[in-house]
Amino acid sequence: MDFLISKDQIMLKNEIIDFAKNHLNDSKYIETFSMEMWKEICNLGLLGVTISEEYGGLGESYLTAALMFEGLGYACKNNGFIFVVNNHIWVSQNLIYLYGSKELKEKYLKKMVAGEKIGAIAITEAEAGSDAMSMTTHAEDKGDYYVLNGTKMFISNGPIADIFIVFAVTSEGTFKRYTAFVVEKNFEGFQVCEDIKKMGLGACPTSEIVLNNCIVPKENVLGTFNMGANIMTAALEWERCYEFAPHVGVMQRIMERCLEHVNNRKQFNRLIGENQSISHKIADMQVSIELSRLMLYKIAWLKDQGKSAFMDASIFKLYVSENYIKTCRDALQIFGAYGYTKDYEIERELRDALACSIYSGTNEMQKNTIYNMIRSRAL
Amino acid sequence: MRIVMCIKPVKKELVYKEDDYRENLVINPYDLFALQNIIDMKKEGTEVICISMGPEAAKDTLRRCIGLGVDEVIHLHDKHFAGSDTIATSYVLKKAIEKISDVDLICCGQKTVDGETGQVSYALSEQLKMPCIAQVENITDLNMENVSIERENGECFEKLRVKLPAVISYRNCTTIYKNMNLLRLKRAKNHKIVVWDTNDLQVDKSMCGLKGSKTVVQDVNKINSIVKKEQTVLDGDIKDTASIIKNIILGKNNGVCTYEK
Ligand SMILES: Cc1cc2nc3c(=O)[nH]c(=O)nc-3n(C[C@H](O)[C@H](O)[C@H](O)COP(=O)(O)OP(=O)(O)OC[C@H]3O[C@@H](n4cnc5c(N)ncnc54)[C@H](O)[C@@H]3O)c2cc1C
Repeated sequence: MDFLISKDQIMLKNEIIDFAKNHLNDSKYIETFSMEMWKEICNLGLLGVTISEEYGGLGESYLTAALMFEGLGYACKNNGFIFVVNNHIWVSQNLIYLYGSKELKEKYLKKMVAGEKIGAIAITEAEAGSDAMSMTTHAEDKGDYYVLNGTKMFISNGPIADIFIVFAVTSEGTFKRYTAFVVEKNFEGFQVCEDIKKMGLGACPTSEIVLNNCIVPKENVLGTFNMGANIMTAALEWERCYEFAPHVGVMQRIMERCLEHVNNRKQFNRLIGENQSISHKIADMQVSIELSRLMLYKIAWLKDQGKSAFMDASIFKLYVSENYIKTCRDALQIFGAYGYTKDYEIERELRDALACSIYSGTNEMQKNTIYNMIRSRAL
Repeated sequence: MRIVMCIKPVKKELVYKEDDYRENLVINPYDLFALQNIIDMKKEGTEVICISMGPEAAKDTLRRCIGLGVDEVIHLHDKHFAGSDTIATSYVLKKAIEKISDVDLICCGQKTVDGETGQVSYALSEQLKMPCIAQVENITDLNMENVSIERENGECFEKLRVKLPAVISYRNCTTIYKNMNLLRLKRAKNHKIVVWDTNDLQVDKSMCGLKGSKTVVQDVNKINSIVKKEQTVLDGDIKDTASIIKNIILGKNNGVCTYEK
């Protein structure tokens, strides 16, 4: 590992912090997706952060992107909105950029980078959650096109997305095979269901999608036919790194709020921060921030070197989500009854945070992955 | 149509509270507000040029203007410009505007947060022999012949249409970056900035810099750093509150909180 954060990279991170503070914190959009905010972020040009300039992107390194997304989490209080942005960039647009044919890139990439088309990913099904490979959505080859049938569950951005990366079984038998398809919301047989009400992340609409004899042109196969499992693995790696990068920034923001509170709030005639049981909570937060940050930069650096970071991404995802939730839980305790009120927004931070031990593969599944990988190395 | 926007870089600590990694110089907030309004109003075929007289580091400030959407930037940089007061500054700006030529509209912020004189826009209009409209809130229409503006004038709100060319200056200083674009900002990094010195501008050296200035600014420092004081909310009975406040004024211990004199 060998990286040095340059002045330019810090400047870009700062640019995002400035932007987010001024444009992304309108409290009226905490529970609903805001097209206005979406347009603002499109105009800033953040969506194509690692995409080449040829497609309207910034062509920045993954390390720069990590810093920028950390900054986004730090300055933007709307975790649901960040989730929308991340789903669009990392598990939809980025997959087309990395695996799409020239034709697919021409067709979709520029519009996605400009934010004219919003992306989503569809893997999960009602009966196939952690065991994603047991999915039943399948695609049938009809010569000139494919016909997809099945139902996908908990699709983030579902109600607002235009382009979905849909995974389907394309070969049954001893070795089931999967293919990733780029499906437009306007394709015949594609249906988006109602918004699923969630505990948090209100600004990110989520829905079920139904593929009922959905017709997908041949050229909309993403990557190689029957090789979708590789793309799914890659998608999870990106997701576990970059959807969790903002959480590092959120932890920093919450820690700073707590620090301010314990240095102002007095009980028994002294600052509550003078009690070790309180100050240690803040020390724990700082430890989590530092370690998560290092792991984030390590993964980003590995990606810049064109290396796999699958296990690192699992470790990062597991560590960040556990500590992000703990940070929010501790913040609520530090703020006492004020933290439990809607006004202080700590309870919302906690509700938003709780989802992260489930999405991108549950934390239990991350431990399975980590164990299986070190075991296979040892054998 | 050609618009020139005059930009002054100022020390970052005069504008931002907590920030250790921003460039040392930032756009004067009044100029930033003006610039963003101009960019909002910019139509196809309109060219916006930013000019800035200042030290080497002003180049970063000018690059930021490109990130905000201006077409060209010019750095007025020469050791003879150093120490210019408002008269000397407006003289150099005038020479630059004349060199740019065919300028229809010149925009400034009302004042800078370091000098606080608020004289440059007037002095510039005088030197250029153009009308000057101050206290502008925003432009409502802009065409080859006229600029329509809204402005506050004492108690009333005015809508004016002014024949071009003219100098206008904005009264607002909200420092929010509205139109920043990261790709433009990135490209600006490699943008070769045009630099004009005394020779390029053919200025009379005795009229610019310290030599041409009647005023001498020795240093600019922020001295009123904010000290956080202890706070107590007095939300009790009105009589008790009045007596507590009386004690505070008299510097007595009031039983609720003590205030050191
Ligand atoms: C906010 C949010 C957004 C989401 N967005 C998307 C999206 O955009 N696209 C998409 O495709 N999916 C999305 N998902 C779905 C997500 O990927 C799944 O919820 C996740 O993979 C877990 O599946 P499940 O909910 O069905 O839980 P289950 O698989 O039913 O698991 C239930 C519990 O059993 C445990 N468990 C299951 N199997 C094992 C095992 N082998 N070992 C140990 N423990 C096990 C789990 O860890 C969990 O605790 C989203 C989910 C959430 C919460």
